[in-house]
Amino acid sequence: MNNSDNGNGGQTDAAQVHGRAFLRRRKLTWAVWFLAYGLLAVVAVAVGCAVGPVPISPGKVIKIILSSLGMGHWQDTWTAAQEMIILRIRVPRVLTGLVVGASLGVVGTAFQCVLRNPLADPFILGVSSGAALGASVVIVFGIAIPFLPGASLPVIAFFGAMLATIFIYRMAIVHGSINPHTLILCGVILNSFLSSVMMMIYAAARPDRIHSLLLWLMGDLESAGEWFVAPLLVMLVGTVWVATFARRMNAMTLGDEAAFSLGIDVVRTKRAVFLICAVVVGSAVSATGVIGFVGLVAPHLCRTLVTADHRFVLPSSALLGGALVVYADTFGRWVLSPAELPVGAVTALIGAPFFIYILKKRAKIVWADQ
Amino acid sequence: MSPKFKVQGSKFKVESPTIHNPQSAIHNPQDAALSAQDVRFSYPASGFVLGPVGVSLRSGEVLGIVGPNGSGKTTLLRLLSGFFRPVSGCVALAGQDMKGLKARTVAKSVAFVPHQSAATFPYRALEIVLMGRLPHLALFRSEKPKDESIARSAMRATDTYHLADRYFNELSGGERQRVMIAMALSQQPRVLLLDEPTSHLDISHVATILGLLTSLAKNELLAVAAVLHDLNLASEYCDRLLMMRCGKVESLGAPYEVLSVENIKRVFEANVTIAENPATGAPFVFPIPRRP
Repeated sequence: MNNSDNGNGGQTDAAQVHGRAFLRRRKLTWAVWFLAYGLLAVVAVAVGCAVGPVPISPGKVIKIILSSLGMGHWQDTWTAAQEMIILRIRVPRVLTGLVVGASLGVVGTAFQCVLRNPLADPFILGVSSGAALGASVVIVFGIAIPFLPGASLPVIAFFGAMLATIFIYRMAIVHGSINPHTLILCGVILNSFLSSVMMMIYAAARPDRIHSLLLWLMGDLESAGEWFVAPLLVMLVGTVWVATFARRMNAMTLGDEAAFSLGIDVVRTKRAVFLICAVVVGSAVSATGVIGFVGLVAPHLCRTLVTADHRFVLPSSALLGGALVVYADTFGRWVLSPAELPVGAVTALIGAPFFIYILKKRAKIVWADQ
Repeated sequence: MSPKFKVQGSKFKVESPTIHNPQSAIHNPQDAALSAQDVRFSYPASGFVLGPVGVSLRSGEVLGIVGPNGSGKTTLLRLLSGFFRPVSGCVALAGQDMKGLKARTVAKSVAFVPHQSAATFPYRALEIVLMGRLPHLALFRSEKPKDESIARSAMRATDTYHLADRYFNELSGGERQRVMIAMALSQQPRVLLLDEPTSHLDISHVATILGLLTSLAKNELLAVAAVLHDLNLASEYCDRLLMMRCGKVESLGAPYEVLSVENIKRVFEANVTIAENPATGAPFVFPIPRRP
């Protein structure tokens, strides 16, 4: 750095030393935390694969996964059955959890930022109720789509989610731009309208179908076939895409005017973020049901512990969200084994008290004084 | 591309107001950094109509926008910044219609400080000021030490250096206002638009900020436009004043022309008497109290 650029003697020197110190400090802090979150996710994969009706030690799990990737040679200390369980059942399940959790974390961050509301969560666009209505129609009335009857439930749930989202998005446009308050209100109203429609469907449905519907609603990571790769890919691509908006999102937390002053095309950025997020959440919900609280808690955790800078918060809430879902799913499979608790119930069970704890503890920092 | 102006602490601390000489503010019209021609705007919901307004903001001048509440001052500022698009007429940045310019291009030369700001999330003041470098950073590039020192210098100029590590939302209204001005300065703009930049400031920081603005205009040839509520501050620090009422320009000119007893009576419906500030010679408005 050339000092003559600034030509202001000692004062600028001090500022630069300070300035570099801040940048270096930030780089280091972020690196350490990324590493920590990454480690959390890796441990989640190992633990998630180890726990189950057939316990397999985490060390063995890592060896099986690495050798299947061709990254290491160990004497086969495991049976073919163990390898099958790990690679065919548990790895897909854990990966699904990671991707869904990462999507929920990133979408939660994005919605909280774009709506400038710390209480926003991924389901605020009516995605969950739209998908739930689609799912209940499939489960209760036994509707199947042509060509791919096995995937009827997720496909119809996805369309339900998209319809609800498009409706709310259209309603929230006031004088050409999206009004966050209108959007949140529309979301609440549509959610309650759709749930009353669902109540009517429940009333007409057989009890066993209601049971399977409820289980679906509470979230289930069990992979249902090879087509499952499609929603996972959509989520992965969308999540990475949303993360590229990080810098623009930083500016947008200061409000539309300030963001515009910083060169952000506010209307276009909001539209892009909403649409990508809607597709990501729609895929997540239709593939695995409604997994609550992760999208609300993960962003806040990352923000309050380190920084609100979205270049940090987006990737770290992806890692944390993914890890949280895997841990919750593992806990749900382990605690009442061989019975399984739905993952959505576990995330809410742990998430709600934890969230209240953060609120109480860090309220001053979490909430803007508006 | 953008002219390099140095943000330096010592230079900006103009504590005593400059002696007022309206003659020095006369420029060639070609110097207009930002100009509005026949600009009209209306809010669809309330029926408020602004315009037609024509004003050109010159490099090196401080333009004060004054007027009663709801007269369209902020709306005019938003139109000038490009945040609002005029219904008819055009706003031109250095001779180019803003309609054809990208937000990012505009942001490289125009900075706009809104009236009130809150960050939804816990950012530190320095992080906020660093955001001012955003229009100058290529996509996916992070800030370099140079950006850092620009931000720090802007903070020193606005007397917010000591707040760098504090959370923005924990700062007082006046401190936040100064941090937002620092952010605008670290944008290194050629045009600086401010909406009531001194509304939450104490008397000393009013002098710091308005002195800073005049010195930026004089030394770095920035074009500055600010909505101001205090007519006496406007008179003291601005080269020209634009007085608005009901969305129309009532008067535009040097402070001693605009701030007349008749204008203030007509526009503000207030009875005043006007004298000169003995220290600077600028017109000074004294309200006459209403008594039964």
